[in-house]
Order: sequence, then structure tokens, then C-alpha cells
Amino acid sequence: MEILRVENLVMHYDLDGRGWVRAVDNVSFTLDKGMCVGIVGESGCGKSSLGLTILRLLPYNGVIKKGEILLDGENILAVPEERFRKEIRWKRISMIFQGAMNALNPLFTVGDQIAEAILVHERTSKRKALRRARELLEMVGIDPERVKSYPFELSGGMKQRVVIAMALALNPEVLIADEPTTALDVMVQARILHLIKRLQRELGLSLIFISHDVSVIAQMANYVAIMYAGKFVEYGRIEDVFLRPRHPYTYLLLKAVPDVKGKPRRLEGIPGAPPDLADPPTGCRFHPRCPFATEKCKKIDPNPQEVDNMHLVACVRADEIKDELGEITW
Amino acid sequence: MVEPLVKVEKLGKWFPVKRSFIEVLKKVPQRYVHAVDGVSFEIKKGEIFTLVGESGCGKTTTGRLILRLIKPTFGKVYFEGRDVFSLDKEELKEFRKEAQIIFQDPYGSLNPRMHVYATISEPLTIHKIVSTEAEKYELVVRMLEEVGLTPPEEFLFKYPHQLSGGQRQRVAIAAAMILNPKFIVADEPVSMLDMSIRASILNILLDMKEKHGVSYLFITHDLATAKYISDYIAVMYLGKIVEMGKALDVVDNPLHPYTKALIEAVPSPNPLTKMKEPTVKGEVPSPIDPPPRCRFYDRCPEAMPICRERDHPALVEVDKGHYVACYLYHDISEKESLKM
Repeated sequence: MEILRVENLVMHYDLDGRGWVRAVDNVSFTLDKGMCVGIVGESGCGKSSLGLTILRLLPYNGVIKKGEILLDGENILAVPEERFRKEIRWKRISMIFQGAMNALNPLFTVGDQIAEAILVHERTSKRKALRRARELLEMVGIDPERVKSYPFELSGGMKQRVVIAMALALNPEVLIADEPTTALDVMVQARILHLIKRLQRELGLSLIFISHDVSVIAQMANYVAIMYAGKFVEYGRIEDVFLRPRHPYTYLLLKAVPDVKGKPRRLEGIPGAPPDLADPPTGCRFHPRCPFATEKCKKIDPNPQEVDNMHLVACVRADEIKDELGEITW
Repeated sequence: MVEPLVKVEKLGKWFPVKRSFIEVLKKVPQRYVHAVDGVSFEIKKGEIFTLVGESGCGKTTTGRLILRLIKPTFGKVYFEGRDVFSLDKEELKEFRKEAQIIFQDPYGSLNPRMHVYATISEPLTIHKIVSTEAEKYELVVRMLEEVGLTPPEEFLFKYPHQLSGGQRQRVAIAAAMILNPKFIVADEPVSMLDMSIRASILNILLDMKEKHGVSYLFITHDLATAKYISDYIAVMYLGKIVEMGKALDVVDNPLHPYTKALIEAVPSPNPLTKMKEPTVKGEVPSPIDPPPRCRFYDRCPEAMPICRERDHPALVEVDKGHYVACYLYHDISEKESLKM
């Protein structure tokens, strides 16, 4: 059952008259209830901007040019800000921000900070809010007595749990997690990922999981979108996309990632660097780095087309190069 | 028996913990962070030896000690048989030429006011390698080609802010390689780079090893990267090496409970290989004056009484060339044990 649908979303950053940065360009996807959609891409591909657009937390120069974001069928881009703030942001859709664990206020206890999130939105007493903070801490695997702790008294993993508790304080239906384990040690990362999975299951959360880390996405997502230079170049079930990629970028990206549990194999990087989104190349944005590019790739800017059931690819040569790409043997 | 290029013997670095004025007056005893606590290993010519571990395990400090960037609290480092810490001025200059370092952050390690040519050619000037400007130019151009910054003319006079992260790291590698060093410490050289760039940088390092026989001490927290690049891997935990051996032996057949847990926790990019929840308890304890028992005791899922009663276990050779510091394996070859 669908809970969130993003349709033809276009978001640009205004460079004060010096042009536009096309951060999110014609992005569409559907999030079903209880599912996890992973968004993966390199730095600057627009994946965090996409998260901020959904929560309508863009800086002053971020302009939503086109598209719809439907939450239970209602276009939340058309909702007045006042109502959005009171009824949707944090209450129905909330977010774990990248680096949030280092943005906790050092002067207040974590209990106060969680309670604040509740008090801003709900007419309730401080005492009740603090009681809820204790429940939330317990839910994310922290001793409830820690409501009295200050951020400096907690380890990195615990601070990240507090941030997750804050995001869940108002029982949201949709949670956007932006790089929630980046900068954590691998053992702590594994625990946080398991925690998010458990909460997703127990609370029936629907998840948008944003990461640059292909491996983390492989473990978390049911569906995955590969984002490159503001666009979705491939979208589908995680097994389809990661085992039988159909877009050259996805294919090359997966070929560049080492697998600790796989057979040793030669890795190859992708030559070049992602384009400047203020001045992207004509045609397909990946064509300057693509070994399969032809003349038509320089002219046609492809949109995602269904190549298989629930598997979309934005490549004009998708069918021609299908056999050349083949399967990824991990 | 070939002489190893680098030999590390019971190397240790303890950092004193700052005491307040009151504590000094009260004669509170000085406490120490045992950053590196008696590690021994050898790096042979043309080999990539990797130190892997979580943050704070002492891997970077070990690298800095080997290059004599900091003084050890105890222990020795030999480079081609010579004690690194008792080199005289001339010998030290020679050592600085032969042992180089590549840092993690290519945004911080390059001088923003020097263009690529100045950065890469500076070591040539310092060590008086070239006599003419033309010679210098030729060496720099050849180096740029080798690290994949082609055509070189396009990059020569660019400043760091005009380059991408991957390109900067290539410049840093070129600057480290220009003197034809025998040994390089590469401290997390790819962890700040995007996935699609990492493999290219790792391959440059591998090519340098093949072509010039350079040896590396590679430092990383990422076991997947370690498995890809290394000949040998040593796993560090709280200043100690807990397991050491051929890369594939350690990663595919880990023996120490910590290594096992670490490898299980690494997510695989294969969606069919599911990650397990770590069985290891708690978090890394404080490295300040650790109690005299196995460093991993408090978190170990297989802890036994002996692990608490005795000091941290010595490394023992369990399989050929595969060492582990754990009492689970001590009955196998106790008498062959290396002294820590």
C-alpha cells in the first residue's frame, strides 16, 4: 500500500542570478507502507537535497520548480506552511539528519532535548513529555535514566540513538534517514542499522534511506534508486538493481566496490568526476564518463523507462548493452 | 632469509593524560593513554602491510612512529636494518627521502597556495635531485602521467581548489612518489573519496608496488578495502595487534573473536549476503591505563577466567604465518609464542 509518492519533482538552487544548480531533476518514486527505499549516489548528486525537499526544509534559494509529493494522496507541496509545520513535518514525516549527533545542544540534557521536540508540537505537560522521552530512549536501546545525561557523556553510537529517538518522538509514518551511520565505527554502524530495521518492523515505519555507501543500502533497502547528477538513473528492487544492473553507471559503481565477503576480484574506478550541476553536460549527464556512450547520448537526455517489471532505467542504450553488462557476480 | 624493509619491535607510545593543577598538588599519579602498547611486525620489500581497526585503536599512531614523526615511549623501529630513532642528521635526511606518507584528507594535506607543479617538485628541490629546471619539469610531467592526471599540461598549474577530491589525492600520491621512495605510509588514503573514485586510487597504489617495488604500511578502518589491497593484515584493538597474517587468511578465516565480530559487522554490497547483529557487547573501553588482562575481555563473547587472571595474551602462530593473541589458541603452540 502506497504511503508516499514523489512525481516529476524538480528542485533547483538559485545562484543569485548566476544560473541554477539542478539538484533534483525530474525524480519520481513510490514508497509503500513498511518498505525501505534506498537512495544512493556520490557526494553532490542531490540525494540530501531530495530529502530536504520532501520535508520542505530548503534554504531560501532552493526552489521547487515542478512536481508533486503525495502523502496518502494529498499533495503536501500545496499545503500552507503553517499547517505543514503543525501537522506534517516531524509528526507524519520526520528525518534523521546527517551529522545530527554532533548537533545536539551541549547545554541541555538529552531528555530535555527530546521533550522539547514533543512540547513544540503537542499540548502536553513537561512531565508527560519527559516520561515519553524515557520510553523513547528505552525503545532505542538506551537506559531511560540517561534522560539526565548531557551529550558529552554519551558515546557516538548513543548520541546517534538519541537522534533517532528524537526523530521518532511524534510517531511519524515516514522516516527519512540521511547517512545515519556515516562516521560511526563499523561495529556501531551494524548495531544502528539493526536498530533502524527493528524499529521499522515494530512501528511499521516507511523508510527513505539516503547513503553514499552502496553496501549499507544493499543491507537496508527493498527498493533502490541510483542517483547521478540530480537524476534517478536506475530504480528497482534491490536484488534486480544490484545483481542485474541495467544502467552503465550502476554497473560501474558496483564494479568499483570491494566486498569483504566475496571472492577477490579486480576493482575498476570510474574515470572522471561527476559534473558541475550548474552547468551539466548536454544529453545524458553520465555520457562524458560512460564507456558505452555514442553520439545520441550527447543529444538525448533520457528519462527512466521501465525495462522490466518494476525496474526503470534512464539510458537510451539500455536494451543494446544489456548483454554487455550482464550479471554482477559478487 | 631476506632482511625486512621495516622491522617494528615491541613498539609503544603512551600519551600522558593532562592533570589539573589541583591533581598535581594532590599528587594524583600520572595516567597514560596506551595508544600503542607493544606491537611487533615486519614489512618486506614490495609488500602491502595493512593495519586495520576502529578509531582510537592506535593504527595512525603506529604509522607516525615508524616515520619518526613522534618519539616512542618504548620499542624500536628498523628501516633497512638501521634504528630509525638513532639516525644522525645526514641519515635522517636520507630516511625522509626514502619513507613518505599519504594522508587521509586531500583537502587538508595540500598547500592551497601552491599549484600542482610547485607541490610535486618541491621535494626534488629540497633533496637536490635535479640540476636543471628542464629535468625537474620532465620528472614532474612523468609523475603526473603515472598517477593518471593526463594530459599533464592541463594540471600543472592548477591550484588545489580547482581539483576534485580524487585529483587532489592523485597529486598527494605524486608528491609522495616523486623521490622514488622505498616505503610509504598511506593513512586512510581513500576514506574521504567517493566510491567510484576509490578503486582508481587503490589501483594506482597497487601499480606503484608492481612497477617500483614500493612497500606500504596501509592504514584503514575498512576491512573490505584492506582485503582488496593487502598482502598482510594486522588487526589492532586498543593499542595491541590481536591478529596478523596473510590478508585472505585473516579476512576469510578469522580466528580472534574480535576479528570475527568485526568482519561480521561489515555490510556486504551483495543484497543476498545479510549482515548479522554483532555478538560483541558494549563499546571500546577507555585506553587510559587498561587493566592487566586481555584488552578484549569485557566485550568478548568467548571470555574465559584465564583471560581475566592473566595479562594480555601474546601472539601465537596458529597456522603458518597466521598469528593470534587469544587464550583460546594458547594450548596449541604455547612454547612457540612470540614475546610481546
